[in-house]
Amino acid sequence: MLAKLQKFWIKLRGKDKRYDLPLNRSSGTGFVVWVMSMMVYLATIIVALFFALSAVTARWTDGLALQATLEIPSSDLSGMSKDKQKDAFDKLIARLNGIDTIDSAQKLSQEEMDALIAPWLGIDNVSKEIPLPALVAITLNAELTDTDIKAINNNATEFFANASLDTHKKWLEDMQSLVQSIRFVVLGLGLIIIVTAISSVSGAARSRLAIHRDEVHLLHIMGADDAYIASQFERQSGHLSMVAGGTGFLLAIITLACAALIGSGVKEALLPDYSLSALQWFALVFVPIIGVLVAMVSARITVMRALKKLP
Amino acid sequence: MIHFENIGLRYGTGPEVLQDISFNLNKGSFHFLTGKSGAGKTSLMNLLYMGRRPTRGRLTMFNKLIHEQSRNDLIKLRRYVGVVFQDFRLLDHLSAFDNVALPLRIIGRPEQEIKQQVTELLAWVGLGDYLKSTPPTLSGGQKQRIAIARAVINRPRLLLADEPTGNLDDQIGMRLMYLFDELNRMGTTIVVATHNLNMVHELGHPQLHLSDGTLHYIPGTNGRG
Repeated sequence: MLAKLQKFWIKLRGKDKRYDLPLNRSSGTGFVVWVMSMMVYLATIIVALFFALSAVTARWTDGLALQATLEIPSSDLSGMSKDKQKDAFDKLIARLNGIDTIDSAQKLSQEEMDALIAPWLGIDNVSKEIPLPALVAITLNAELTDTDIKAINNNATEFFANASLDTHKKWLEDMQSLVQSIRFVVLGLGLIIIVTAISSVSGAARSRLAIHRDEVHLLHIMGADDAYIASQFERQSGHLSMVAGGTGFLLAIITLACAALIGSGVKEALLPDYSLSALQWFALVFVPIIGVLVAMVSARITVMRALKKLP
Repeated sequence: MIHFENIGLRYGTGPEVLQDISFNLNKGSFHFLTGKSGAGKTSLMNLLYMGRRPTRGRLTMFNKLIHEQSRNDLIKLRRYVGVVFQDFRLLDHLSAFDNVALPLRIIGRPEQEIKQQVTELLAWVGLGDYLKSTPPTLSGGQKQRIAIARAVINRPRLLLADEPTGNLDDQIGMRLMYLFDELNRMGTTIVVATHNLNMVHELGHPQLHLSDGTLHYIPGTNGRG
């Protein structure tokens, strides 16, 4: 394996920087580097976006799958004194905590309610001025069955006629469906980037082949086979895409770091935690590497195909 | 070694530029290819280095029938042929060393062997001090010698030279021909396309004379043909 990697590296680097064909002097080399670096930049951002979406979905699923909220509308509370409310909540909580599938049930305090609505309505005690429902946060030890939901609702309506249980299931399903759609869009964009990169590399290889037709003919006369000639284009494509990949990747990392920095200021309030894991950051390194491989293989296949058509 | 039998060649749907060409080239022979411009010398050279297949007839190169060979087989057969072009066709971005090393690199010889052989050969053609020079910095004669060194580095069985003295003065041209003569004595089969009849008569090798696409054999006067 190590020997194979070493061989690949030597092939990519070349014994020296010599090409039998003057490929480094071809016009348009800078353009290819620019296009490839933009492709790697976009691909890195898109892969990071894909990872972030996966992380968000996982957190939502993990965080909400064993959570439920019992909502008591303000209309149920308006006719009750504070003491009666407290008594009813204490009994309801005790009843809920007695159910097997429930780990714990707890009424959200005024401070917790304020913290929840603060991102939208500010922190000026507006919760006291507007009629808000009371919420009971329920932590489960297993996913609720329909029977469980019915039992909880029956218990709750004994104390508050219009109490209803929200398992977040519908919302979670909607969000997951939305994230899935975004994922497909991201994958589609990724595919477009790959196809564009392949087209650019192939186009550049074809034009360089046309520019150096005489030199290629000379190599053929000297007995160079198609693979030998194609390897020159492959190696040069590898060099260019390494420069382009490095540049594009660096720019993408800077962009992502800036986005993470900006996001860290607001995510607590509005955005879910979308930070990437160490493994995901490491995985991003493979984007430019894959870019280099795609460029090399595309150049080789393009040149081999074109050479086969020669007499 | 090389056998042409009723060979015809045409480009596309145009007229035949070579008609009913038949001749043999034996191992170690030396022939001049003569004829006026447009007589078909370049086309015949093209067939000899297998840059094209004949339109008709049977062409045998190194005991292989050309029309039976695949494209890859032809490429491998070309490695037995060294070609010196009139315009040298050196690669300007490569040094003299790398230009001469090219045929050896193509067949995958080790770098150490390449270094030794190329250095020796360039010294033999009098360019031992110009290993790192690139063609644009060299004179016509020096370029010609690099082109010859490149053609012979792989010890070809057949050496083809297209007007090799065309760009050189008479004295250097004759020295070049003596160099070919030397290679021929070492066993290389040589075909030199030329307009220079003085040189042809002086060396006295047999001629393959082309006229309007047909070939006429003119025996040599030096007793070696």
